[in-house]
Amino acid sequence: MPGQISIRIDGEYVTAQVGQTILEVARANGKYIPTLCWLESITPVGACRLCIVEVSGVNRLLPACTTPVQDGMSVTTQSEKLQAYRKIALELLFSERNHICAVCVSNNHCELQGMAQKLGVNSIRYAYSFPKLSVDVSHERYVLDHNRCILCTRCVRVCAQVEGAHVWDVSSRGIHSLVVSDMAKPWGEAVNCTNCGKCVNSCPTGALAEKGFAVEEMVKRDGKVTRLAARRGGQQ
Amino acid sequence: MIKKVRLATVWFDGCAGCHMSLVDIDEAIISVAGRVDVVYGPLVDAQEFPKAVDVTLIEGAISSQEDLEKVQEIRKRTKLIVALGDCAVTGNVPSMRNQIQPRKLLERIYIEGAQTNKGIPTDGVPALLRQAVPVHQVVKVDLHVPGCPPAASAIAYVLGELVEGRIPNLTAKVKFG
Amino acid sequence: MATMTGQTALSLEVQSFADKTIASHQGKPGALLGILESMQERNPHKYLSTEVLEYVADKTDLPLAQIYSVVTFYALFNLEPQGEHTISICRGTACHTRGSRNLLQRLRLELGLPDMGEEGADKVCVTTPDGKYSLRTVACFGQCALAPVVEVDHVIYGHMNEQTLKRELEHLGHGGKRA
Ligand code: SF4
Ligand code: SF4
Ligand code: FES
Ligand code: FES
Repeated sequence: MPGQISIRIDGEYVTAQVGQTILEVARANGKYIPTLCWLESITPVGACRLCIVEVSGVNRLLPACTTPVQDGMSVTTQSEKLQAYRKIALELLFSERNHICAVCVSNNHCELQGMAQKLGVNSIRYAYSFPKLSVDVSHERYVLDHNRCILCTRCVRVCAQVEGAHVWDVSSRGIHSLVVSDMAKPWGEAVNCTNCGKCVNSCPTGALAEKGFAVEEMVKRDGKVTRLAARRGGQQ
Repeated sequence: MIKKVRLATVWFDGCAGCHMSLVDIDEAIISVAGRVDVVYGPLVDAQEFPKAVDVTLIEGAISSQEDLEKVQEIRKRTKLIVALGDCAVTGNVPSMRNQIQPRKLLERIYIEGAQTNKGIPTDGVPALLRQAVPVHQVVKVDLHVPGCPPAASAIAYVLGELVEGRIPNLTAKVKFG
Repeated sequence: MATMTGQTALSLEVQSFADKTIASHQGKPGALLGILESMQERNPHKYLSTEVLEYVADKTDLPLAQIYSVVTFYALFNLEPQGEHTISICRGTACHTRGSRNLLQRLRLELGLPDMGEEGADKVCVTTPDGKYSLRTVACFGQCALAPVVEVDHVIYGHMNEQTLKRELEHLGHGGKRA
């Protein structure tokens, strides 16, 4: 078949298409690689670094979600080293914001919390920065709590690519980064917001939530968004 | 005769929920009870933290000067410290005050917020630290058992392993929140 | 798609300048950066107002959030009117270890700007109420050997201390122009 290549994942030979990412090929072959910022049918950005893998002959770790496969490539998805680095990436996410799972709307349904459990992160070795962050309740139906945001940009991409509204983006840089709606105006004043809720359903944490939900009550449905994305033609 | 494990429990800035979960381990408590001596904690009478403790379970964040001094002393007298529950492990709810200066916080609560007897209490009240922090930020912690509170089954498992002289592997068995 | 109001408080002159600038950048890579830079340069207080950003968004059909993201990412863009003189203090590691924090505190004092405690030690961008001076911090000038480094109206000064800084300030106060 044209464009068909062969790569090895954890020693196993698998076929792949030119243009696919390591993550896509791994998933298609039943190999689990942890992800947080990746969302099916949405352009990957490589923001969270949880999906890092080892590629023989390359002396740094590569994000599986943004690295295209190459013929003859040999990929390792699980190793002690990868486990250690994935834990570091995850612990840094926890240390940067205020995650108080016990009182969070997403408690028990949160991808960040679930990932910590899965990777065996039982404590955060870095000092928490305890930043002072706001909660935007100006929207009639939804809430944005910066305390819980991991800057995965799933909301940004879903709003721009699937809904076509591009209400969200990331302001500033580094530790000062924040998701903002329009010109950093309150979300309720965002002229382009269609109230569709796609960002809320795509958010892996309790950062975006529907109003009227108490602790533990917010369950996200990102499958609804990604199916729609696929039907509308997927990545742009 | 097997030597009993000298177990202490302490309660810092937390809601006592972790201690509740601890006494909630049901029949597991029977098998564990025969193997441990509870030498200190809210569950027993001892006045002073004893010397040569094998295991100390710590509930709560480190929030005050008193907590800090006490936990440092506990570290010296304990072989293995377990941070029990989210407050001890992450700071959790007590750490939600950390963005506000303690002085402002106390004024807000005891002066602006008070109906009667306005004034910040000082008598016999230890000074607050600038921030409420997880235990491992001030002393070495040997084992973290997150959860708010940790499930009784997780506590039973931890104690069961510890009395056997093993370090429990908690991967996937516990979670934050 | 951007503003949807179709209305703007901008003067006709600024509007026509913006239209021309946008037209001249049409189709060029990095067009947005060029447009914003020209708009800021044209402003007497060297900043981009919300109205200007909204106007650019409207005319380029770029999302407001994306434009905001760009102007907050690059340190060169200002969202507030700038003072006649700009003093930038390096708060990079090298300069920090050489006492740039004290220089910053000293300048605040000299300019009568409020001390912001812990929060104001690292990232600062303020202008005095009289519009004369803007004080800002920089992550690193890449001149670490000269630490601590201060930039006054685009001129770099190395090995600064509180006395030399004060002298520079007095010089500016007496109408001294640099560069
Ligand atoms: S967003 Fe997730 S990890 Fe953060 S506090 Fe909420 S449940 Fe916990
Ligand atoms: S609000 Fe949610 S989806 Fe958006 S960047 Fe933050 S964590 Fe990701
Ligand atoms: S999933 Fe690949 S970097 Fe986040
Ligand atoms: S740290 Fe100041 S110039 Fe590099």
